[in-house]
Amino acid sequence: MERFVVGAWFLILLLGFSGTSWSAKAPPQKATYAGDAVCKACHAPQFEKFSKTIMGKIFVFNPRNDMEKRACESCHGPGSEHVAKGGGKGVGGMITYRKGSGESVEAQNESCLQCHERGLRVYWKGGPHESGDVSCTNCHKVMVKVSEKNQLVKETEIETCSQCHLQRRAQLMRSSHMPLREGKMTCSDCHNPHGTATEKQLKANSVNENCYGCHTEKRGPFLWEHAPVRENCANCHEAHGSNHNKLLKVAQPRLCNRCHVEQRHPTTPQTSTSRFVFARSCLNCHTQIHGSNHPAGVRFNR
Amino acid sequence: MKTRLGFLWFSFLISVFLFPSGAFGEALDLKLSAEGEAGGRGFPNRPSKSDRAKFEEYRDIPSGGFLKDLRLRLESKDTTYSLELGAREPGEKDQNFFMRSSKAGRYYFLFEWDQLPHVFSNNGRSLFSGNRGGNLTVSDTVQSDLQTASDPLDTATIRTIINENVRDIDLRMRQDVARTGFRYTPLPEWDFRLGYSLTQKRGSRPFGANTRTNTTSSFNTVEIPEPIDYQTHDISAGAEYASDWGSIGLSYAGSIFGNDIGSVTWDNPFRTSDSATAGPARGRHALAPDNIAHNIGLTGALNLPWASRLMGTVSYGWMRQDESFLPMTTNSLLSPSALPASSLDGKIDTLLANFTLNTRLHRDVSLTGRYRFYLVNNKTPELTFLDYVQADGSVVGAGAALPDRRTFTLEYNRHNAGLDLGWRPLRMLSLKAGYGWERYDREEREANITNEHSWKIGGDVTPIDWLLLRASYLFSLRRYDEYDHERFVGEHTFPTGEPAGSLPQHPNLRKFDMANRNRNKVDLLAQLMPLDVLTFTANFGLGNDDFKNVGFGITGDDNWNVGADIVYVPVPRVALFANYMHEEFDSKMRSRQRGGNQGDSTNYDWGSKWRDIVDTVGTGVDLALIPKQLDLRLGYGFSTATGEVKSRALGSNPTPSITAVNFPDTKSRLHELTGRLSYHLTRNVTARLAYVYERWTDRDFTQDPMQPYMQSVDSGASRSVFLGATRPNYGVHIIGLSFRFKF
Repeated sequence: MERFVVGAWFLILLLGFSGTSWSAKAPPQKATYAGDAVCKACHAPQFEKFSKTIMGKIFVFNPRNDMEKRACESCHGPGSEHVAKGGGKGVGGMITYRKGSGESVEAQNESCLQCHERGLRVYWKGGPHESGDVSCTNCHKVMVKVSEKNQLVKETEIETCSQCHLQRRAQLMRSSHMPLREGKMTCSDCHNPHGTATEKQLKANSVNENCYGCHTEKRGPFLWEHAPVRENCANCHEAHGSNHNKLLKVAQPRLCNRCHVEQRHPTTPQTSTSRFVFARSCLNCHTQIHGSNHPAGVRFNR
Repeated sequence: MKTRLGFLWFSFLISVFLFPSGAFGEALDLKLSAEGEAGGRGFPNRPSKSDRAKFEEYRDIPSGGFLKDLRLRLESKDTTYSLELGAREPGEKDQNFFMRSSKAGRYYFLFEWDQLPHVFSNNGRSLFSGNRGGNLTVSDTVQSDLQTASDPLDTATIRTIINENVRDIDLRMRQDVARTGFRYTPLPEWDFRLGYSLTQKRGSRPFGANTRTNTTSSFNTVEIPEPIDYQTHDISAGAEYASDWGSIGLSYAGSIFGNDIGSVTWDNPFRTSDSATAGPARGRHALAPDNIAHNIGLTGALNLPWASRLMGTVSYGWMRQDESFLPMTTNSLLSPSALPASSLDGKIDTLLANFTLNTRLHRDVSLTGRYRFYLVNNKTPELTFLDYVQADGSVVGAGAALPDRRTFTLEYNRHNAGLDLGWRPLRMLSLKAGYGWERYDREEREANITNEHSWKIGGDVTPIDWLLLRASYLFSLRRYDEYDHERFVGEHTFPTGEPAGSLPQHPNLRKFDMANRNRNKVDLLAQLMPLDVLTFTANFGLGNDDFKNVGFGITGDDNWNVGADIVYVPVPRVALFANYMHEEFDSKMRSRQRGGNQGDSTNYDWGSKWRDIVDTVGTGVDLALIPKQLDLRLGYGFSTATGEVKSRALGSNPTPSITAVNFPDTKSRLHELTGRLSYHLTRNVTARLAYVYERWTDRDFTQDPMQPYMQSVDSGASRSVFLGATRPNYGVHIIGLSFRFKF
């Protein structure tokens, strides 16, 4: 069995390095740019829809450089071969984006990155979505305006992300949630799906700095700091939604019991009718759990 | 209000200036378009205000007339220039107004004002008056009567006094955000951005205060409405240059937070005068202090030979807080030592450095290496307090056994490094393997250093164009270098320990964020698109955290989920969708009841397990009943979550006994049923008849029994007073008729 596995592995390696490319179609060798007027002659409805998108407005009406002046061919590649052969799906080696086109994700994305590998997309290469073979067109639709912003494939950002992140969508329905369901927040308020310098594609430099973006009152620094709070808000909170109050990960008072094995009430298992459990449990007294600036706030109760 | 109006005018003038300079100057041939919706809605059974707290948690849905999604767009005929004015839910408490002006590809200007309610409860009842100024008072008569009834204790009288004197209060916050942004791209290579926003939060929310309430034996809760009056100014600026070789960008972000109510002072309902042993006449809390934060960052990318790209960021930030300290106590009969400083001079600097190199070793082999360093450098001076006043009730540490209290200067640095290899040996097969390392180096936490090594493998299989199967597995090992509470934390904060006879943190406790841990994580995903009209996605996730060498604390953490999503458009007139997700989260911990009569004995060990089970369903249909004439959209969403907490004693029948019992299960459910019939009267006008049914039920033993006087639930709360704030269950039917227009 072991020999078989080693043999199979070796075979795959051999195939992989044999120089045979499996990932992309060979680009057309002699194709030249035909011009958007030629494209429009056959693809008038597509051209019309594209003209109404933000990219269309730039490429068709207000091109800033040669690349943009090529309009359709700036993304689909030079079309002379396609035209010469009479057009049709897959004819002439044009880059296509539709399902089942056989075009590799790399080739599709490379086309977009000609212009978009900057700004929010600086970290695209090597990022979680790029290395997961996510295509730009999995989330964006260039030819038709579907969403209000960012040319998404769905009407909203949440719907777009939910295509793959099914669990995150389910979490939005939790009793305790941020106002995403209500349309007042969206995924990209915290994440940059094109990749960032931070873990989990967060926009800020750390989990906490991300949260401080809205919760500035919790930024401090405080006279009395609570160590797990200063280090990571996600130690206690589940930002995507929870069935516990205040987006807590665990029901109170067990949330605090996890770490507090000192003397007295923090170590008491408590009953459900205890004043240490109902209302806000431990925070009935230790209210300033995110940090206190009161000289007497060592126990976060001032 | 003045600020908001000023901001609005400023933005309007900027917009008007920018638009005509281009559009009117160069392309007077304009086209105007508008759209919006107007109508009315009614509630056959609208819940009372006190029952609408959860329903209106983040939104406002009044009965009567409404306007929705109004847009007015002015564009040059070639659509190069545009000016757009819009309003969402105007006149409602979650309204939003915006104004955008742009020249496609050249500049973009935005002004937006957004309002967001956050309702905590509409049925709170409070003894206090005077919320706005941070000075909460209770009438002298009530204070005096409660003082009399609390010593000797007369719970019946206390209950009567409280119930007769509480008044209804709303516990809600309103957030207003005014933001503006300008982006200018003079050439495709250059990009400049400026942004400013002002966020204002006002209102009140439940807040637990505590003190001695006319008793020498204990501290009790006095729940008060915390007054909130925050303003945050955020400023941002950035410039970027990009070319074939890569890009370089500089950014700045500044944030200034101000709290107009820096402290809240409240009457002790049970005492009219200060006492050195039985509590103060007034208590006082410090609220969030004013603070500022700045961050400057440099991000760049360099395209290298062999399809390689180096990306990097260096970002330096600093947070400052120097609000004057409040006096140690309001209690005039207590004499604590002088404060060591008048303010904190809090200073935390942060540094992020990240470098990522992505390259292709071969046409079908990619390699990504990354290194990230994040530093939280706490420059706040350490302050030593010779004693402190516990909840304005008594001085702790006075006398011979002085447990000096020194503040923490928590800081840490974190290193992350990783290497990911991607290989596509066959067109249908993509394999991934990766290694990651994370190191935390902490100051004043129990584990000085933790190292975590992780390995992951994964693969995508696409045997046919319309099928994707994805699997990944991660295994990680986290180990600390040393875990020693006394050495790393105790000696820093309590040089002489707690008072004699008290027990500090147990040496066998291992906190979950630093404990030795083995982690396993599996993710499976299948995406099928056999037809352009059918998409099916299914996922499965499994996570297991096994904490090693843990005496007390979390010992295990498991979760799994399975879900599916289907979208089917059998004919252009019909679109169907459905999704389902099942999630389970299990954890277990071990603890020991310690101190007092229990001492420190294995007899008082106890364990607890908790489990959350959540099921979420969504389904819907879009139907063109009469093509281009009559549309029907139906949707239904359902979520149910059950929370279990089970506990049991692990020792052998100690005396006094230990009460480790199961808590009642919690259960929350949300149903959302929506239906909308749209009839296209003309090309530009559509009549809509909408129906919504929403029902939320929540069974939570921690919230359901809340009332101002909780003595009947826990006799230990006989000298406590609460707000009795809850969010009752609701069931709402909404019927609406509206007309959507565009021209």
